[in-house]
Amino acid sequence: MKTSYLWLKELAPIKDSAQQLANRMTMAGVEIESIERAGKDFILDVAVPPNRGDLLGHEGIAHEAAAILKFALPRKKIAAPKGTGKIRSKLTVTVKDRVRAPRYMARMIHGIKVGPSPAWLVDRLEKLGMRSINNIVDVTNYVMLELGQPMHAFDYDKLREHSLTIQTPPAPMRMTTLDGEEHSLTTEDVCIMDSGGPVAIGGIIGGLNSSVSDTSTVIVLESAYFQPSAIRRSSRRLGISTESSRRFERSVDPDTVDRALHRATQLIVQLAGGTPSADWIDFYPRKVIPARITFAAEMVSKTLGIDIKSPQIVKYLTSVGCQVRPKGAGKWQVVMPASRPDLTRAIDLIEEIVRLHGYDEIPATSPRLPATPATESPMRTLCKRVRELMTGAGLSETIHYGFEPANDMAWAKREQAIEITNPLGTEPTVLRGELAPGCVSAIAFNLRHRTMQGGLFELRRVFESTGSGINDPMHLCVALFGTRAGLHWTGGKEPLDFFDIKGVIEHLSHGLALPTLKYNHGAVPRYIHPRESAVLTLGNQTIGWVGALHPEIAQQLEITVHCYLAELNIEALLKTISSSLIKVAPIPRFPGVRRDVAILVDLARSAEELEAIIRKAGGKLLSNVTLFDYYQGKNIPADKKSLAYALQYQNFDETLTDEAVTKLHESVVKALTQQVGAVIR
Amino acid sequence: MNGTQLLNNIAEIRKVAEAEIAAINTLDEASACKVKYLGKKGLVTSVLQQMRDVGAEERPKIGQEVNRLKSHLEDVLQNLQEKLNTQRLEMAVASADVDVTLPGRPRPQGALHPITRIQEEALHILRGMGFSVAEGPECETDYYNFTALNFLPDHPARDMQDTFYVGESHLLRTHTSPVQIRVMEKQKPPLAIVAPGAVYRRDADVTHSPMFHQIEGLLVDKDVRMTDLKGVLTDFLQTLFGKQFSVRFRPSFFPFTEPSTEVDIQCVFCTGKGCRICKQTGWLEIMGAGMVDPEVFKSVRYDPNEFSGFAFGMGLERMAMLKYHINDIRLFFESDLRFLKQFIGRGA
Repeated sequence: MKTSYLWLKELAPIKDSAQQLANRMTMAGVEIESIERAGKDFILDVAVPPNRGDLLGHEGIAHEAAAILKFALPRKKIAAPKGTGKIRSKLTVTVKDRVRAPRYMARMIHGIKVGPSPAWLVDRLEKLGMRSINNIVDVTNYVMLELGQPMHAFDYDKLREHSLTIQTPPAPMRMTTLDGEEHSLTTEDVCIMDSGGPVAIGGIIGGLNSSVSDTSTVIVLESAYFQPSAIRRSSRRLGISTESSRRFERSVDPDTVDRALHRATQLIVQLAGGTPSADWIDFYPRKVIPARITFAAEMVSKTLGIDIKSPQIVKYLTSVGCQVRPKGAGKWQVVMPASRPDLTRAIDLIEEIVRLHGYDEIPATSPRLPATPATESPMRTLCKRVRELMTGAGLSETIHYGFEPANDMAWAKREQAIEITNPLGTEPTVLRGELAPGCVSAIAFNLRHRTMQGGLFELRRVFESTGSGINDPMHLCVALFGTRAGLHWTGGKEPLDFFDIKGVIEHLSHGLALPTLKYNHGAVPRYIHPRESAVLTLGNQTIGWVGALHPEIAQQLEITVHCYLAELNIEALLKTISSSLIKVAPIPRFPGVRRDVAILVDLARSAEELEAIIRKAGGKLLSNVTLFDYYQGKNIPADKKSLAYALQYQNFDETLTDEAVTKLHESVVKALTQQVGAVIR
Repeated sequence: MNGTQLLNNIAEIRKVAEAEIAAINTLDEASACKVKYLGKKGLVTSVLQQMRDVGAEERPKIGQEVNRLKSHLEDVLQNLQEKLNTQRLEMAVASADVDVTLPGRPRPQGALHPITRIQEEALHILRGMGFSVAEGPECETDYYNFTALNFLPDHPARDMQDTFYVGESHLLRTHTSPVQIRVMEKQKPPLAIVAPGAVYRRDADVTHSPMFHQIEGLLVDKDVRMTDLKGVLTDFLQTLFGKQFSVRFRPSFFPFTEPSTEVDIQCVFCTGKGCRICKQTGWLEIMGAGMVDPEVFKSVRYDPNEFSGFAFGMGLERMAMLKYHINDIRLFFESDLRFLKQFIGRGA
């Protein structure tokens, strides 16, 4: 709230400079966000915490300053101006909704002359960011800025049958407010109505039909206390937030409702002439009773860890408006001030005491921490390992939002996307159900910025609707684009292919000591190449996919370099690896023997199939099979490929004889020729 | 063949061999020469075989001559081989010069995201202080995100955190504080936890990102006091940023703590002298904290008379921006490799 330093000085004997005052208030929990010079004055921008409605007026801030600067500031009494004529003979006021309007006051002023406000008033309002309208409206705003109590003035002659009823509408209805906007009122909104319909939305904004104009001569001044939660609900539902609603929803001081009415009456008579009614309406059937509690000094030391002397405690509490009555040694009965509905419990008082005492006065100690080892979840441990492996494989970690635009990324649209009800802009936004589309966008971004080659990974939870709730499994996405390595005189300029991304997944699976992953053609996302891709299975569970970006999508996104992606559900891995401990195998004591075999087979035979045949025929003594050459093309038939394997034979118990190896190797060769028609080269 | 002929033969062999050896330039030639004369079927060896035809009285002399020739050739060839070998090594060393200023063959290297990096760094310190790591879902319910944390329905405090809603019953958590509730529901005190993770606010400009990261901390035990809060947070921040920076506490408001505090650290750019980054105040707001509000304990059925505790929360983007001198929050989420790769191989 914008606050005038000079106005504060009128209300309280403040000796500190604006800057000093700002510093001391900030250090006591009322943050001054900025100080601006305005002629001879300074405008302090007070960051009012949501529970401190009392700081939405200069008087409240002056009292706060007094408590912080430690001087007494008695509450100012405001006398009611005298007048003539009974108000009830001219105006009927009925409060039907006592819950939403616990206190409602009104007073009439006759024979006023609406006109411009004097310069001092205009100046003061404008400095604080309000526009001057006319002397009547300006006074209501001035009183609001001074006492924190919003006021409203009706043109008496425009009130049909000269009546005001405070109630919720019996049925939804429409009304046009002061700003010319039309609003729909529900049966939940507290309204001020005359016999013809609503003339104001209580606590929020007045109606156009009853507003004070240049020709008004008789006005009805309203000062009220509305239920904070009711005002907040209406304000949010109607989408109207006003200076008035901001104050009512934080609660005004029910004991200032009358003071504000008298203050406004006084100022209107002074600035616009006229005569107030002799009496006024004050509907206040059930007084708002401030909380009262028993409070003890030991509560303070228990929470803060320091002792504050009783006289000091009493002084602090009194300075924020509490009434403190002794109830034995170090014990009191405390009645909270009506202006501070945020104070209801002992802990609230402790906070008031410590902020006035100063947080600097609290020493720093070390707590007795539970003497158990600090832990973290197996998933976090796994994620750390995955990050190590991925950065070790040359990939840089990226982080994207948990949501993405639905239209921009329509190419990756999912069937069961979870939509955000109130996205930032106008475009529909969905929670990410998979990571790859975001990473593809990241590649496009990098290409646009002339980074033509690289590798990224993202590790985060995605969101899946389960019907009844939302599931959030941990996913890993790997994305490679461009060439195998950056430009370098030693090479690396070859474009990436499928086996680069597969290599990353194998690096991961070796690094996590996973059981063998299976790669098969299968159902991959529609932005992935249907053939140059594989579905990954672990045991009998599908855990993800790996493949090239679909050429059509690449074209659409202007991705002109090779681009490969993989996405894995990490949750599935956690179950598999949680029990896998390293058990070191003995180093062989006898030399192994290497024999090679080169074959020509049908293209359709998979590497997996061939290796299985070799291993089966080789038996236990065949310790390792390595494919070291692969060729298809010139000099061999088009439907064939040439493969060369290095076979490592190893007996852990004795030296292998040449004959034994030859016999085994022959059976491998035989198996290959017989089972898949391999031609030995 | 008689003895004299044989002796002449030996002399002839020596003469020819010496001439041949003199012309040798390479190790290969030297080996070939050795085989030619001294091998199993070499010329010197064949003389020995011819000795059978000579009379017994001449044999010792001829034998002596042959052995002399043999050891002479062996010595000469040996010396020659050694000499040639030395020459070859010298040549190899001399010719194998490299331009050591050419770039080396690169090994792949990737970077952790700065947010991960600062998160791990903070968690490392906090774990060392005894805090266990806990986590909770990003997609939360109103109850855990607000109500259980003493954000009353229809209270303006709810405006402090503009919220994204998801369907009828969910929202994207606006802070990591719901993890407090989830942990306390399952565990009894004493407990000390920290909860890292992404949070969301419906807000986007130069300094605000709709998603950012926090670390939440919570300590609950008997007799936890505000002095402990100051001690733990001061130690933590000075370990993270350096002992030379002071830490200050000033009152603030959060619905789920009371008393609440804002924690400031002396500006790490100007060491408190006042600069553009700290808006000339010398201080940077870095954390929110406070003593756990009794209402929060009530919502997890802890007895506020028996237990007390403190909670704290910090924004990781802000920490990373201060620590790594990053000036635009959007850089964190753009995946720009020119940004990300700067985090390769930096020390903690």
